[in-house]
Amino acid sequence: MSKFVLESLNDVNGDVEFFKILEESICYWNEFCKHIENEKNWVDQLDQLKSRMDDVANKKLLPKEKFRKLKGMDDCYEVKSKNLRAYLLLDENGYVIMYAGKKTEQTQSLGKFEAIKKRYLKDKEDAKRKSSK
Amino acid sequence: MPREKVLSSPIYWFDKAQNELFRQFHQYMDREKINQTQLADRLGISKGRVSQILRGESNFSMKTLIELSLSIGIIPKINYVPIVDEIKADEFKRLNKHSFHTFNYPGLENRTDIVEFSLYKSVNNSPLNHTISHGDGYAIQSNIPIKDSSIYHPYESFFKLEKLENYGK
Repeated sequence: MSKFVLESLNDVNGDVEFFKILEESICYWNEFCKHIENEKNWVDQLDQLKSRMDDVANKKLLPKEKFRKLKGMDDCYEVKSKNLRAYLLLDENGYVIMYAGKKTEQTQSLGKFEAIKKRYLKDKEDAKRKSSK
Repeated sequence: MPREKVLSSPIYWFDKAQNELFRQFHQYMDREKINQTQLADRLGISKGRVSQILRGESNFSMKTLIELSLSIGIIPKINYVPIVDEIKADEFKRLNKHSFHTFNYPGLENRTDIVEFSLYKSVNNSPLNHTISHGDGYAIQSNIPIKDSSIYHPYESFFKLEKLENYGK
């Protein structure tokens, strides 16, 4: 049984699908949104991230200050606002929000993103191997 | 509904406007094969202002926005649309990804009225708790029990199709 589930992100509507990842029922994106909404300081920036994801889903060009490919990481992208970051993996399903965090915590967030991505890809690989047996 | 909340956010539309201006200037520079300095010179504006536009961070007065647009040969045409219409159009876009299959379903052929009603119901968050596999890789979801070859009254029923591979994710 897979530890990961992809859930369609209803906040975004475009040609390319957006998903949030759940690992053993924990959704990192939902947790992040809840945290920002509780803090109340950067709720506007959360809406900015969603607006930018919407443009990405509709294949519209964005400034690199708002959306960019992560250096040295295949199929990995970052949606940015002044203080917030969302980290995405582009796979055969579409864009998957793996993790999100504050700008001030981006080193730790990137580490977490890479670790989740690694576990997700391994999980997918294991499932593929099992189904081919 | 989360999407409705997003579409009602001022910052969502402000960001869209900033990004559209960025794209217009980006296209203009590509077309004219000029860099940021040349663009600033040509339009008689500061490099800082050009950089602001190209970072998608402009917040000009309406007068400046119109002047800048005209300077690259375009006009910003602003449409005022009721928010409820925008929410319906957005929902239609989402449903339309699969909706062409709806009318191949037994009893639903050529029932264009159902789509309009679907939009109304989905905006009002009608539950979709009945599902049937459609045999062509799609699942049909409905707010009422589904039977093959049944004909439903369009004002009581709401249908949506999901790809089976995505269904339940």
